[in-house]
Amino acid sequence: MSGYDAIVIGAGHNGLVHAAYLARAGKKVLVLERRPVVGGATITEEIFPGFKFLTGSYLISLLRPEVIRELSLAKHGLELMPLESTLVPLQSGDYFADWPDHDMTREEIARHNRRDADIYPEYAATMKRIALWVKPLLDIAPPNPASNDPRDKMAMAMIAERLRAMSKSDFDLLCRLLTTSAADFLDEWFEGEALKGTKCTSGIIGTFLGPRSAGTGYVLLHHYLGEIDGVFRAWAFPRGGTGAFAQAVYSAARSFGVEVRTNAAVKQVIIKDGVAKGVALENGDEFYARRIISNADAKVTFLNLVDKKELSPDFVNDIRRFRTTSAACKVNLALDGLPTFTSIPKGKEALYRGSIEIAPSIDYVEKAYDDAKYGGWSTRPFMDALIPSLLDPGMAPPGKHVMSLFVQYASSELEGGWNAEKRATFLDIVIDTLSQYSPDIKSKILFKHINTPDELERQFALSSGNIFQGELALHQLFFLKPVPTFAHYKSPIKHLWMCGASTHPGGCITGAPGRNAAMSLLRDFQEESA
Amino acid sequence: MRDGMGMLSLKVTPFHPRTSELMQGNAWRRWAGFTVASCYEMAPDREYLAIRNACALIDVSPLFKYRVSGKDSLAFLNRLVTRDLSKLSVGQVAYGPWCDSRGKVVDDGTVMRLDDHEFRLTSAESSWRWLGDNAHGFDVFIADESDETAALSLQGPTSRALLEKLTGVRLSDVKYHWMRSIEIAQRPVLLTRTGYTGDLGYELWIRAEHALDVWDAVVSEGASFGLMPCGIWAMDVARIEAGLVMLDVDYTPSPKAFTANQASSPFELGLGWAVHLHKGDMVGKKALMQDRLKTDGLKLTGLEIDHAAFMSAHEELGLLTPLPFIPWRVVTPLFLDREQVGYATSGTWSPTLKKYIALAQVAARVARAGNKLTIDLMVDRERRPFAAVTTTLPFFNPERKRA
Amino acid sequence: MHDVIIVGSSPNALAAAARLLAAKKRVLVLEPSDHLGGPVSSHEFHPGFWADTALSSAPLHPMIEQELGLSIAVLPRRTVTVIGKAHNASEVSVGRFQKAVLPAAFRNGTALLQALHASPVGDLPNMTGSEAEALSMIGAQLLGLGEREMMEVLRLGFMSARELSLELNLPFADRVALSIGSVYGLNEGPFARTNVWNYLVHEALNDGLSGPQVVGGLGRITALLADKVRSLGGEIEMGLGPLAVDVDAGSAWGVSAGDRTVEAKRIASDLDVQRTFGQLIPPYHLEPECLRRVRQVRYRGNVARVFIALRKQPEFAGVGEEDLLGTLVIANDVESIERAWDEAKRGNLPADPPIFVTLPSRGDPSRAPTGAHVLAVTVLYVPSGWTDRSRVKEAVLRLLGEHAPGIEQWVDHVEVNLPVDLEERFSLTGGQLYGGETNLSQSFFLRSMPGCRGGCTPIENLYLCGSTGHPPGYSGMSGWLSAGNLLATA
Repeated sequence: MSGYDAIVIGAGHNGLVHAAYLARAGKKVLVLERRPVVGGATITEEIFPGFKFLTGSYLISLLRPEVIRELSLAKHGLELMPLESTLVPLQSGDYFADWPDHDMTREEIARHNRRDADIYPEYAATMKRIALWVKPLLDIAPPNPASNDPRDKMAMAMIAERLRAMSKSDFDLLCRLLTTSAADFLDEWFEGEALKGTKCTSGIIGTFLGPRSAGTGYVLLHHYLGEIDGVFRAWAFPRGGTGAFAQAVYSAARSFGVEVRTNAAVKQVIIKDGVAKGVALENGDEFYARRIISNADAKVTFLNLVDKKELSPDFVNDIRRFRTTSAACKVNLALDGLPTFTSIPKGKEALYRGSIEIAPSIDYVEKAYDDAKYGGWSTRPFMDALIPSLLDPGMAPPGKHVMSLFVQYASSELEGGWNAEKRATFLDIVIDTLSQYSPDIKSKILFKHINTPDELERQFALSSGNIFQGELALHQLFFLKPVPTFAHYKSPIKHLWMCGASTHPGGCITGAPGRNAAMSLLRDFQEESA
Repeated sequence: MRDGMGMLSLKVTPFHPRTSELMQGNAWRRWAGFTVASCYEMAPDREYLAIRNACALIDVSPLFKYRVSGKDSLAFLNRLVTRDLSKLSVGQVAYGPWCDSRGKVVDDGTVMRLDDHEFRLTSAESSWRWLGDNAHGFDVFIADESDETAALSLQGPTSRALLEKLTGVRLSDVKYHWMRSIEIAQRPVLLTRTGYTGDLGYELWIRAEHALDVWDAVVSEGASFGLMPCGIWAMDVARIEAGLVMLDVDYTPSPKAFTANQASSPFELGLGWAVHLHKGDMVGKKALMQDRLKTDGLKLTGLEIDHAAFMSAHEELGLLTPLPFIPWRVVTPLFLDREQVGYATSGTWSPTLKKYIALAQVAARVARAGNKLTIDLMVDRERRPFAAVTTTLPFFNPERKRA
Repeated sequence: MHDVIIVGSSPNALAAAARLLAAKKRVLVLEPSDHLGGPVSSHEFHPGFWADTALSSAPLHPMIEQELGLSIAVLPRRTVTVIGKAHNASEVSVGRFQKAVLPAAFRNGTALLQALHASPVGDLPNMTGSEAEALSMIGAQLLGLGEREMMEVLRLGFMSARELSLELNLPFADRVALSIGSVYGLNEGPFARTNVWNYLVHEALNDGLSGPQVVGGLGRITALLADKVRSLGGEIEMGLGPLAVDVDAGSAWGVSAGDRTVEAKRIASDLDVQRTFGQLIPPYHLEPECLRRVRQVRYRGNVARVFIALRKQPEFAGVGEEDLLGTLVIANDVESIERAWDEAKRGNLPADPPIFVTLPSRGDPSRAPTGAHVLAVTVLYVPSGWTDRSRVKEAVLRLLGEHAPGIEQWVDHVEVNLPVDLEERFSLTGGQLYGGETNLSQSFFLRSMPGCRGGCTPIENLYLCGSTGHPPGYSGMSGWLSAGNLLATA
């Protein structure tokens, strides 16, 4: 026995956050990471010399302010640079832009549709009010509505209380938003295709559904819960890439005394008499602790790391049916210079510094989904591009640039499976699509790299390459996440816990599952010693 | 100015080629997405004095202007705004607010009756969507004429004489809140006897392509009438003296209110006189019927701040008293004993009245004139309480305004 | 002066009338068209051949049937037979939908929905005492299922038919039937989430794929209800042409037809929200925010009804004689259904629209001349604005011909009712059969639209009593609940 209080499997950002919170409360914590580096999918990799690629996550928005504050992440080197604009190049050669300024955005929306410009502030305010209501739910372990435990009852009462405090129209809107499609929801507000095109993408990011499918409204809301320094709906780029964020958490964790071992792939959780006692590594080493917490997704944890004999068939079935299908890819380009987006007019070059979205209309995005949903990929994909080297010159050598692209849809269940050739073909499609809006980009590419769902799965141990460690869907949400009756970060195996994005509140760089799980686990420790 | 990474710019009004030449202190400001002058000279004092003693020329082009025509235009507008427009004659202008279904003010502006079935509506915010949302079932046509219509406000005691000189037409029969079509520099101009200063004054509605011709003619003839181009700061002093509320400053328009209680009913804004509940149905009528009887809400009131005390507080510290010639627009709490009973929304030194005045929202029970409240103001580096007495509005209402 | 005037005459309107009459109210039912029942009606589409025009099934709620002492003869449709090709299969297979082997959550979910459908849904989250009580009883019913089963039921309605089929590893016939049942009447494909909710809604209404056939046609329900209303002293007038509700100062006081105006203390509209606030009263009687909500209700009907007069009983390959008393679904696998939706959402008619077919004359000979038969085809994914009848006819005949070889030669007559026809015929906005799509996002207190609880509207004394409200459908329950609310507020 090595005397650890807790072993965390996986040094992804939630694993590190979780470990940091435990250690901060005086626990002795060991984090075991399969890869040679920490961060999991929160990583910056120099795949091509001199160019820093964002091969997994690429932006921060939903990171809980509590995590930054409580772990003193600023002190540990976290620097967030808010993205200021969104550019949507249109197929007509025109563009649509979202500016960091009310008057500029108003004028721009009005250029496309005057009614939209008038109603946009009301839309923005409404979404913020709803986000304000939902936000506290991110920071609690989901209560079990069927439970008689006073803690569950209190949490349910808190939720009911908040519901009653909402205005009737906000409440109705929240209910519709949760259950409808992003397209139907946006149609209720707006008329302009370009505005709806860019807004609908929040409803499909990381989700293998088109904007016209019910279920995407909820995903849209999920992405509206972000805030950067109190500014809602803001997205930020961490200096040094998302890997630098992981490094900041790593540094914080270490400062609290967390021990992290890399190249330490866990083979199996050691379970005796139904109680998790430790972990066995691929290399044969064994470590023991009072609690084992898995930051891997639910499927990896219970289908790969736990002996099935230890689980009831019902629970195994619940885990199997946990949906993880995905269609998200990550592309990085090393560029010999800044590419030209022909739709950006002179004087508005600031738009290069923001997000560049290839989502000219809902129909475009829906078509991209239709191409992929039967086991294929989009012939004209949706993309969210960013040139990080404009925000942080350290991302590329002087005069050179890096472009990061989030690309959807390419099915994790590709007909015939993925291989190197198919990855290359899809990468070409991405670049061809991009060159429609930036004709000179091809001539500037020094190196290109794609992570398709199979690669994301292989590299980051994400089932089906799902970037959220499981789909954001109502039927696996809140007290149903990841599976019914185990939504409180615990598992059927005593002392085996979960702290990854498979658990509430889910994916994106949030730190919330790690933090919430730590709060619950610390209470568990306390009750045990009491 | 437009070159280089990140140089973005606001819109400019049709008068910008002239106003930018006049600008001395680079005191520009934003107004509804436009660049306009806060003040042309280094300080606004002379511009203000022109409003009250001669005449001032103010670029008010950023106002939104809509033409409403069609068989149902009167019915439509009468349902939209709180005033009863059925008695509005052709050639007459009415000022008033309009509300949402909760009876909260969406915007305020003027309605001009151009013809039996033709109106112009001006507003502070873009009203395109609100007009559209209210037009269902009405046979009306709404045109946004904001961009093609330039607007000048000519305010002050000599404004009529100047206009008569310019047009060769007698204008004394254009009564307060009436209009007339005139020509200036051979350009057609719609003249309304309206304004935002509480003084004798007119507003000129001009096609954008004629804007500079009219400006030049007014400015060149104006020299002998004491005319001064005037920015928003000076106009702001005048409108506070006149007790006129300003959107976004003295109230939050209901579509922008984040929570319901940030919005205001017209009764709270002192616009109860413009709410005609006896007319047929109108937007927000049910809520307004109830609001009218409410005694627990806020009320707009004037405040006279004890300037003598304000001066002696400065003198005690060996300081000169800074006169707030540029109105402040900071929400400032008001107290009765230790209880907050409301807040001031904008305040200024009134050079005409020689008083320190402010507009405020206070609990109805203390809104009657003569209540002595307390306001905290900065004296050098300290916050000090001063007496502020509620007064009726307007502070300043010269006979010449309506004469 | 009447106590209540009801505009429209679907079973919801008539059930409302009956309940009001039973409470001694003077009730007048006014029907603009020259037939009663709205979409719950039958017509002779070819001499001697009768069809249930809009719906294949629309049973009255058993409680209402009992309360009113009605006895409506029905023929249960015991089987749903699915004919089509499974994914990647080259051969057509014929299978039976094994509803009974679906997990218990389906039955529990249906039972809960039935309870909800019979309960006045309050304006969440601020309900009146009795509404909260009714809801908490349903909550108790849910909790009574036990923790595990409760969560299974809650999950169900959030899922897509496709992901549920995968999860349960459903055989071909079951997943196709589940998909068809889930997307019926929705403007969505089987891949979209929350559509299983719609399946449960129709299970609860018992008007889905296996909803019973009414002997004598759907019009029989309407006729019996109308007789009941008259026997209770209610008056029914029809063929009045366009009606207008008279509103003064935000309050409804009468109904006008041409020059004639009838006054009443209350008015109840059986029409959908858009028609109520666009046709019955001018839109400007509503506050603009409310009007915006009216315009946000979605009515993208995409169901066509095709009736075929056959000289002979058709034979479907692999389908047994007794299965013709049930429902035949002709559709390929779930992906094909989604592909059909892909076409429809772009405004195109799918090459192979999914259809379901009934042969009402098989169990009820009164529907067709002796020896002849009526084939009633429900065609999914005909775009809302589609106007080309012949293409729909061709597609249907081709599909039928593939599975019932030689059927063309027995066809005497084909009548195609497109969504636009159903809109015209029954005043259904967008041709949407239920007065508003029956998605989860347009359910409970969000139905008919937010702020119209229990049939109340922003116009004083004006109520909604049709399928546009809660619950959807023509079980009479929406009218029944609305009448209850009207009586309670009277």
